[in-house]
Amino acid sequence: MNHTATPRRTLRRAVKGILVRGISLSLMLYVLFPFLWLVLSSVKLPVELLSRPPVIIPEKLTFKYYANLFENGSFMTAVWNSLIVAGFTTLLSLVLGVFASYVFARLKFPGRKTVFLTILGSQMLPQMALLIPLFILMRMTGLLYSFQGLVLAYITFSLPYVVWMYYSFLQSLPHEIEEASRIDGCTRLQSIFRIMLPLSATGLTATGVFVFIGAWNEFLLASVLTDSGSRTLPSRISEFIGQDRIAYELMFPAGVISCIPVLVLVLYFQKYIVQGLTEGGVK
Amino acid sequence: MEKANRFLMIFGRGREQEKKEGGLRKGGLLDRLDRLSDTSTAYLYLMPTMTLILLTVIVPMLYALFISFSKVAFTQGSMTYDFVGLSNYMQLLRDARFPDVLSNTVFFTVTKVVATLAIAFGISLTIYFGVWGAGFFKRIFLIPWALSNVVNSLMWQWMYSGDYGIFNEVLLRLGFIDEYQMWLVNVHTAMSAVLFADIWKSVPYVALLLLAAMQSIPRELHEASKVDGGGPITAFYHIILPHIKPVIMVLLVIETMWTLRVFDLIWLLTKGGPQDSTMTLNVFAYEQAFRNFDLGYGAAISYCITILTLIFTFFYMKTLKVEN
Repeated sequence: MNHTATPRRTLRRAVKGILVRGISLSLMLYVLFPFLWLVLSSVKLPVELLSRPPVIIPEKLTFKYYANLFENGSFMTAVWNSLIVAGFTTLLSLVLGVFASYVFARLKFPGRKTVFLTILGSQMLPQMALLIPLFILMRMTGLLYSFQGLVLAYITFSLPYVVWMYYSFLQSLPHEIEEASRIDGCTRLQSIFRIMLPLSATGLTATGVFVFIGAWNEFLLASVLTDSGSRTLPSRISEFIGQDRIAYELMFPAGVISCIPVLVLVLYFQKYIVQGLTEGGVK
Repeated sequence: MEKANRFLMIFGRGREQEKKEGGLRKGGLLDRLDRLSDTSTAYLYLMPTMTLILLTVIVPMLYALFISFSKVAFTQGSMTYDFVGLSNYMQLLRDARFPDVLSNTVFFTVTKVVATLAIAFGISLTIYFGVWGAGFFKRIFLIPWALSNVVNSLMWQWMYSGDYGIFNEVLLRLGFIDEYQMWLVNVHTAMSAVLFADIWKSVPYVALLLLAAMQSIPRELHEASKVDGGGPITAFYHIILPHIKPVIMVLLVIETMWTLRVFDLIWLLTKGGPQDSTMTLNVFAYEQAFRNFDLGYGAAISYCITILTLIFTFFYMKTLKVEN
C-alpha cells in the first residue's frame, strides 16, 4: 500500500472497519445465539433459569441434569435406538444407492429416463402422504414399532437422495479412468470398488453424512411408527415438551445431547458438506 | 490420468492376475456377471433399489389413493374399509376450516421462501464483498441447517416464552413492547413467530449456496468490469446476478418443496393453534389421521398436499425450461 494516509482516508477506513466488524458480529449472533442460549439454559440452576428478566451469565453452572439424563434408562434407550436406525439407514441406502447411481451415470439402457425420474420424483412426495399408508401397511405386516419398519420408512427419502447426490458426483469423474481400468483387465465390479469409490470418496462421505443427519433428526415418521420401546431421540424429546409440566431441566440437556453427533459430523466434514451442498444440491 | 494410473497400481489387480490366482474362473459367476450387456447390468444393479422404492413408495402411494376413497375404522385390532368414493374429498371442500388451512399453507410457503431468499441474498452479498472470516461463516452457517426441527422448536419455544423469554426481554429493552407477550398463543403473532423460527433455520443454508455460486465467478470478469469503469452496482447487475440466476431458480424449487412439507416445527410450537391460525395442510392431515383417527380423510388431505407440490414443481419446471 503506497497510499498516503490522509486524515480523511484514515477516518473512512476506521468507519469501514467498525461497520464490517459490526455486521460480522451481528451475523454471528443471529446464527449462533439461539443454540448458545439453549446450551447455556441447560447448565443453569432453576433459580436463574426461571427468572425474569433472564439471567444472561449464570453465577454457577450445574451439570446435574446431564447426569440425571444419563441415569434415565428410557433416554439412553432412545439414544441407542437413534444410532441403530440412523446407522442402518445410512448403510443400506449407501450400498444400494452406489450401484443405482453408477448405472445412471455410466450405462445406457431402455427405460433409463423413466426409472431415474421415478426415483427422483419419489423424493419430492410430502412425507405426510406416505406416512398414512405406511402406518397401515406396517400394522398389517407386523413391522409397526420395529426398527426394520422405521429404517424402511427412512429409505423412502434417503435412497432417492443418495442416487441424486452421488450420481452428480460420479458424473464429474472422467469416464477415461474406468475405461483404462477395464482395458487393463478389471471387471466392472472391480472398477467400481477399486477405482470409482476411492476417487469419489469425498462425495460418498458427504452423501453418507447427509443421510445420517437426516435420519438422526427425523421426527414425523418416528413419532407415528415407533412406540415407547423403539422411540428415537427426536420423538423422545418431543414427549418432554408435550407434558403438562414442561420439564425444562430434562428438555434442554436432552436437546443439546441430541445435537452432539450432528455437530461433530458437520464441523469435522465441513469441507465435504459444503462441496456436497453445492455439487449435489444445485447442479 | 496420472492419478488414475496410480489408483490402478494400488487397487487394480486386473483380470489376468485374478485368473492366475484362480479368483475369476472362466465361466464362473463373477466372469459371467462381467460379460453381461449394459442393459442387463443396469437392471441387475437397479433391482434392489427399484424393489425397495416399489415397496416403500409406489405401493404405499397407490394404497393411499385407495384409502382416500374409503372410511377406515379400527375395531379391536382389526381394520375395516368402507368404500365411499369421493366423499372424503367433498368433505374437505365443504370443511369450514379448509379455506383458512389452505390460505395459511400458501401464506406460510410464499412468505418463507421469499423472505429466506431475500435475507440470504443480502447476507451472501455482504460476505462476498468482504466481511472478514468467510471461512468461519461457512462453518457456522451449517449449524442451523444441521439442527433438528425438534431442537429448533425447543430453542424458539424457550426464547418466545411469555414468562422467561429472552425474546421478550430484548424487545422490552429496545422499547418495542411494554410488557412480555405470549407470542405463540396469540392469534395475531403465532404465525409470524413460527415463520421467524423456520426462516432462521433456512437462511444460512441458502446464503451458503448463494455465496458458493458467487465465489465461482471468475475474478477476471470483475477485473474486466473495473477496467471498463464499472462500479459495484454494474458488477452486481451485469456479472453477479446473471451468474447466480440458475442457482436462485433451483433454490426456489428446493425451498418451496421443503416448506410445503414443514410439519414438525409447527406441530411442536403451536399444534396448529391458536384458533387454527398456524394450521397448515400438513398439520391438518396429521391431526385428522393420527388424532381423530380418520385415516381416509387424512389420506385425502395429504393427497391434496401432493397435488399442490406437483403444481408448484410443474410451474417451476416450466420456468426453468424457458431459462435454459
